[in-house]
Amino acid sequence: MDMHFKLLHMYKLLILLSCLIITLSCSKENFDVANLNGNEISAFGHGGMGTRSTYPINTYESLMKCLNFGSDGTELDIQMTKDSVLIAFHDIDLSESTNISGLVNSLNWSEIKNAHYTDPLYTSYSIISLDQFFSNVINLHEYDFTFDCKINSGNDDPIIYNTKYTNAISQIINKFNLTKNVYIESQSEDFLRLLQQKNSNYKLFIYPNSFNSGLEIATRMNLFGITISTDIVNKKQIEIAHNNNLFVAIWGISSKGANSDGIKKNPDFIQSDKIKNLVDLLD
Amino acid sequence: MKLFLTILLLSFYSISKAQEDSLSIKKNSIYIEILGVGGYGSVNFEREILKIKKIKIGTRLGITTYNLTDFTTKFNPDLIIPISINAQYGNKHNLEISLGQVISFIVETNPNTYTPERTTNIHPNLTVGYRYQKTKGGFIFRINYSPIIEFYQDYKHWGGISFGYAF
Repeated sequence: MDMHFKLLHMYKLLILLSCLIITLSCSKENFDVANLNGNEISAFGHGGMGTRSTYPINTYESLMKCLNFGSDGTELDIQMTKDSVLIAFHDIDLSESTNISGLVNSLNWSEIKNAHYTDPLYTSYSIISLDQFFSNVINLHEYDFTFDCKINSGNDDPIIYNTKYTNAISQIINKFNLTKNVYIESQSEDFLRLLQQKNSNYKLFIYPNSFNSGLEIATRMNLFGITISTDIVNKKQIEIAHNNNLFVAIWGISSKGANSDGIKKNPDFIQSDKIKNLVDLLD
Repeated sequence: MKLFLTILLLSFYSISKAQEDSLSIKKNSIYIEILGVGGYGSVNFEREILKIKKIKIGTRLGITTYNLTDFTTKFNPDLIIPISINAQYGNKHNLEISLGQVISFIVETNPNTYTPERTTNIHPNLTVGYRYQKTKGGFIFRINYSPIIEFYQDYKHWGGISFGYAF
């Protein structure tokens, strides 16, 4: 009888603990978002699934999985090959993460397209061009994309290089009718100015080293917004940007806690390395 | 490769017979390897098939994955299967050397259709390291250097640490 009582007691305790765990795991944080983006934060992947994923960032696998997880879109690192093909790739030299070497702008697309990433072991994920990527996204216009334009002119004349680069961006945006769906960010004022001259409807973001310099440049150039690391911007500064009619995208969000902290700063866009969690939090 | 697989399968088959003869020696072990030939980590089963004084010969079969779902988010796991034959020298403190292959089944993108496609490849490897394991079983610790010839093309320096149990 005593044994039976003990078992019953343990059983009740187990049920109680299970309920507690389920309740805690299901509880959701509520966020009061106030921003320029219709009081909603758009969830973007960082190069797709982010740097913590087993997929290398900017690969088709990483970008597509991010979109298929229900994100609003994704950020991509953009570079231009010698023959003016735009590719999604982060590093300056291909040898940093692939089985070939050389600067992206020193090689033609035909020399790059058969390369593969060297990590993780046993995989051979390919480098993808923007044309290939956009050609294969179903319901393309349901998503937004941020182009993080990496500018490495190498030995080329910077003016000629920037002109070719901005022409290539315009062409890809026009080809896929993506003017409304693309945000373009760069650290170079000259580059952004060229794009602004091409099309005043482009949504251009300065990518500054500090909030104050970003605010100054974005206001002076009448840009769409500021892209900035979450480490160097706070809620008050984002509010100042909003008061100046500037959208704010934050990056450097690499954990679930950082997703939550990022949301509390009220940005318009978050580029996260934990995109699934961000989508769940904002859902 | 076929010969290697045949030897390995025969080894696993013969072990059940061998164990019946010497129940006092713990011939099975399971361990988790951090990094190692599985890539980021793997779960492994090992079986000792031969013991001559301080030399022990064993076989290993492991499994691990990178992603359980493919980029369309459908269940379609990558599978990475390390198999090897190893030799140990020692009693409690062992020098361990092994030769093996990793069979990888990775889901990537078909370059023509842009749909998920499983690719199968084989990657030989060598392991040299230290292994703590008592003859009577119990706790196992391994630390090793395990270079891999990925796709039979690229030599990669690699290594791993394992914790497990012999029984």
